[in-house]
Amino acid sequence: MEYPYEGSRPRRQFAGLFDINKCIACQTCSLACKTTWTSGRGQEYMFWNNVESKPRGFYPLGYDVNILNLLGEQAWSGQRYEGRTIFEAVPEGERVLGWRPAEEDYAHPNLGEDEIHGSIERGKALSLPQENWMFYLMRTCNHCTYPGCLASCPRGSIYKRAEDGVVLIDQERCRGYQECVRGCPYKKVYFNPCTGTSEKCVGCYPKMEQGEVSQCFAACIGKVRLQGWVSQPAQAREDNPVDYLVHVRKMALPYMPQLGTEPNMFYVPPIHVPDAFLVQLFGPNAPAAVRQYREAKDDPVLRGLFALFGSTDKIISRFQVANEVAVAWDDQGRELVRVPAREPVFTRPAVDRLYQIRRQNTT
Amino acid sequence: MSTTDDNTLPRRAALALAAVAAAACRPKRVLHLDHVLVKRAAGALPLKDPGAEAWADAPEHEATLSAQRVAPPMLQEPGIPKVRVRGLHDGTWLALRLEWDDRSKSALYGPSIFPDAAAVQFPRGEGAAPSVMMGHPGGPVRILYWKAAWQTDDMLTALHPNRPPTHYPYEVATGEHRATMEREYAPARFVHNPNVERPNNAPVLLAEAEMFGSLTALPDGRTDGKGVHENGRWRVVLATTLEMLQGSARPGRDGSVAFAVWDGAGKNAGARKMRSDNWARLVVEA
Repeated sequence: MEYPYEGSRPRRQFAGLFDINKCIACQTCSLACKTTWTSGRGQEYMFWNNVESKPRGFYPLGYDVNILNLLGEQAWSGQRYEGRTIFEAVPEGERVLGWRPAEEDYAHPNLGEDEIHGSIERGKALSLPQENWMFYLMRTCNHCTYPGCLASCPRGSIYKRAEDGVVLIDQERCRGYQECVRGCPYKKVYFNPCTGTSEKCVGCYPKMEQGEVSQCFAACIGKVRLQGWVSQPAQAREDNPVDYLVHVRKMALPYMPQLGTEPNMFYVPPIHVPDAFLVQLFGPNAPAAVRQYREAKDDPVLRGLFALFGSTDKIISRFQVANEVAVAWDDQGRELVRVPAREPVFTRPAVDRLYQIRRQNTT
Repeated sequence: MSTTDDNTLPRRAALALAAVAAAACRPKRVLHLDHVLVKRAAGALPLKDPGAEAWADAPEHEATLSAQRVAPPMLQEPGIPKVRVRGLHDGTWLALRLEWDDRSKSALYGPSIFPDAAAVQFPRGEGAAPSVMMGHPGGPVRILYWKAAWQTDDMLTALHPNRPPTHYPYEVATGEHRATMEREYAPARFVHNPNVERPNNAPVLLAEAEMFGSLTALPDGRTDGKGVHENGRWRVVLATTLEMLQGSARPGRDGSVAFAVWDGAGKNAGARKMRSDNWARLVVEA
């Protein structure tokens, strides 16, 4: 693959795992980020973390279909991508293949939210030209190994930290040309009109430096997320939760890998979505990932690993599942959390005899 | 014939008066020079008045601009093709007034919204001029940079005049707490990015460069100026002290100068600009 700069991987790369099947789009992650980082003047429209309803939800409008349309039809050969990336399909005079949203494209943070249509009883329904499925896609900056934003900046104002792979914009050096907004295919760079500079997710690096997970990970009430470190495939460790799902089981997949940026956020794809759509979004491993997920309940390691999602505010470096108990450690070898691999179920009687009241099932 | 003579004299006088009046009303003939002549001003420099009469005393140079198509990202569609330049100095300050036709005034920043802008470039120091493309390593240039957005006080209200009032916690915080919050919510302000803060709060920035992409603001750069958009054209004064130009512009000596203009409506920004292909001769009157 071509890239404007020589490849230089960080000493280690932080990564996120997302189980799409568990997300309910409560937007707690979005608000946790918003209150932490983007409550200033000029940041009103910024959602460094957002959750959108796929396939018709976008933020900004049409960001994914636009870049896929610009890239055009490309080819996979089995699991190997043989098409062009945004760094090879570069128009003359540009640094990467990209486009820049107009201001109105940011007008609706989740246009198409919960939009779905299927037949209802006796066929009485408003008919829309879409299928009977949707899912929620939670998105932050992918802190790519080959960031489109970094490649686009003519001033070299964007850099990737060697210690954790976080991609940052130097707020002193940025001059607000918005080339990074154009170059990021995921549209996770935002321009601040009040400072004249571009801003983006900082990975909550001050927390990460303390071994703590980012705000959007910590706030997730659905236990959808797990933050850790991803290795290169050849160095993958089976006891690293990210490596295990990404490299060993190939169940957690990058979003639009064909763009060539090597994103470091990985998704367990939704189980109820047509394969063709999943392959377009997550690559050729998506159908196999769904099959494994359907059988995860019978796999003690997977069951334990998924139970660790959202179980601690610390970054997990190592895990083990034994005797139906999942244990997680940080990179200093300190035990962080210990959870049952199978969540216990409690059944409460409908009538509380102690207080003489009937219980309402409200959840 | 006395009658004729009587009629002729007043008629001649009237014709003479009419000729004088017509000459006074006729626009002054603009003298176009092939170089930029910076006249020594008789009075105070009109640094904040691009329409001042004093500018008429300086001869005009018309600089041709072409699209930056050397290094990506390039300007794909040509923008402002010409800029008219006049110069004045008073022995301490040097001011250039750039004038160009632009029917759309763009003074806002926003997502995909870019301001009009202009720049004047000088070689730093004496000797052979460096590359006209923002200098080269070891051959620095000094650049005066004006952006229309730097003259817009409340950008958010200008962008969205009907927006509801919003509370920004960090703006009402005080002391150390405010600094902490500003670091999170307005990081560019916290680090004094020149897009937010400039010396003397002028809409003109003095910067230095040694190649494309290396423009660096000079924190102690003394600048002044103002842009006014009227009748479908910009008139912009960009000024700094002769001292700041470090010998590249001195009274009685020849130097070099180059120009660039960005058309905000055409999404021009950064390297996507119209700029001089060659240095123009700069003459600063003794």
